[in-house]
Amino acid sequence: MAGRRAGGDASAARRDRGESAPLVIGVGNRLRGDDAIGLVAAERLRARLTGLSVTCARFLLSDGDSPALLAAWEGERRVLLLDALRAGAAPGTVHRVEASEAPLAARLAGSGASTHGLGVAAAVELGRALGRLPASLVIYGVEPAAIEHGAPLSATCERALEPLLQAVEEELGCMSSASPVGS
Amino acid sequence: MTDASRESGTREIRVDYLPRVEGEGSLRLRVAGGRVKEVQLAIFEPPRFFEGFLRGRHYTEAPDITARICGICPVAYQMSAVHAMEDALGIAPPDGVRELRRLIYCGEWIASHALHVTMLHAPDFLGYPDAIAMAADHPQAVARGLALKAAGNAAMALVGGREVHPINVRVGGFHRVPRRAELRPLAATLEQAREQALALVEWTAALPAPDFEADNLAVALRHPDEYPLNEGRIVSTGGLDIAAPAYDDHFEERHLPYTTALHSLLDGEQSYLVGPLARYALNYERLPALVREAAESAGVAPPVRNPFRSIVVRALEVLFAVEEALRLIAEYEQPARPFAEAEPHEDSGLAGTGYAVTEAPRGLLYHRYTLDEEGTIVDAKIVPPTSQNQRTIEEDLAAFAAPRLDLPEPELTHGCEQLIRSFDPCISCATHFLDLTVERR
Repeated sequence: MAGRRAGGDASAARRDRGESAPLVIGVGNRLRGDDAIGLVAAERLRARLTGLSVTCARFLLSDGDSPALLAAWEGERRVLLLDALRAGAAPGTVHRVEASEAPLAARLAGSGASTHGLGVAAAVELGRALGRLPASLVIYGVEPAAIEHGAPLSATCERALEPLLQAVEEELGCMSSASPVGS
Repeated sequence: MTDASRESGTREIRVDYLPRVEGEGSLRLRVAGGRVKEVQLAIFEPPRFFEGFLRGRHYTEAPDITARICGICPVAYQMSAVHAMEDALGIAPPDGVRELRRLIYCGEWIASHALHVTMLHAPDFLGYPDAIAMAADHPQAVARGLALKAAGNAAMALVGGREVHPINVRVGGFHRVPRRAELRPLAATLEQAREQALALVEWTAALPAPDFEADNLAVALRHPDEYPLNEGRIVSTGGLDIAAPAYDDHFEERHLPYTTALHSLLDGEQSYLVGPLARYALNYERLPALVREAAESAGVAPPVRNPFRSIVVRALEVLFAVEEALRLIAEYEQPARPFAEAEPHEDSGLAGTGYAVTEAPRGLLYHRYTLDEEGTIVDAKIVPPTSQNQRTIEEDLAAFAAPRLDLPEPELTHGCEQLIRSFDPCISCATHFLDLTVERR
């Protein structure tokens, strides 16, 4: 990472090719503890990347409603989706899933587990069935520690934010000059 | 998750978590000696105490607080709340507000019904576990459902400021009203939605429905010349004909030990049905010609007594709501004022009691509020459609299961689940609780 200039080569090259910046979608619910992490991460990333000489990404915040997600990524080539993700790992673990590559594992899709509406996994699999997935859809998911009503982010997920943001910046080829290291 | 146990002539069919309904509930069907002994549709979401925490809040807060009862039908809660408050305070909203309210309500009907018909109910008829599996073989149908839902959401967002829990609705009218030009893009979206809704009617009419009829007492609003949304008298196929303030004289809520939702009964012991089939039975002739023609082609003349066929009636109501929204946009005149204020009475200030019933996508939604002189809520009562349908769902389940007890377990269970989904129960809405009063003698 050392030596890469702020703003990033990848985004400059993309701009030269006339492509729009990738879409970063933060998904979550601010009233359910660590379920807010996708929203918080997207907001912090947007703040960190604001003011760079090139546009590294465009941002969208979502409650995860699947029809809305399908509409949001319609026509997009490259989408990064940030969310809380339960896969049975230790709380705070950052998962990276290439959703456009292969169907989500059953343990991620969790079909039948939720009775409330249709969420991110449904959006991905509906998109696949309908031919409406972006060419590249990468999901960054953080294993939540607690999703109690009205709770703030847990300390575990707060600590996971920095590694998550650095990974996403690297994926975007776009390092913020202000990235704190080891904080 | 299903479980069935058999022992010495007794049999129990249980579905511990009903999928594809809004909220969490379960079904228990007990059979003994070859007969259905007991049916319990249990709702085990925790009670939500909305009526309790409305007390002490200002009357202006009711539409935004009650909207949170449901993420699928927030407009219904807002509409019943504002009408009840206007009744309590004697507010007459400015000209044009009524039409905008119908427009946002149409948006909610379209979005809610399109989601239920396509994503939650249709997979039952076609033998898929969910809409995702169905999408692989029926991509066009799923895409159409999503497009219709998006059109409904667009209407809610335009009038309401956003699609989930709109923020623009207030007692007396709206915070801001749209200009005519702002509605034009929505009309273009709805023109497309009309074609999609016609196709939806045709598609649902061709779905094979189980052979079953139930003679349920239907209760819905009736307006002199409109298909009902915000206004009308409460009427039934049994001859009931009352205004909203008389609701409590005829309808009673009862708490049962196995469910956190209250059961609602009419005139003592009668179960009844609210929602699309009830509205359809009582208001068919008030539908626009286009919708009646589509109904005739689809072969669903009223009354529709097979609950499974409610999927077609929901599709017809989508078509109605699209058609009605287009009419409202074409005739729209921007109201001169967005809202009217409450005028305190010389002696009693803002004190009073107000009542309202509107037609949520799932049926009658009753609100009653009592305010003190300052306009603070001192009492609130909310009766959502799902608790009103609960007893009828159980009775229909018993009648449906009785001649089918010899069916293999999975088949019978699936049939029961499909029947429950025919009522589009919104379990989250139905969970609330009466006050607990302890009397000691």
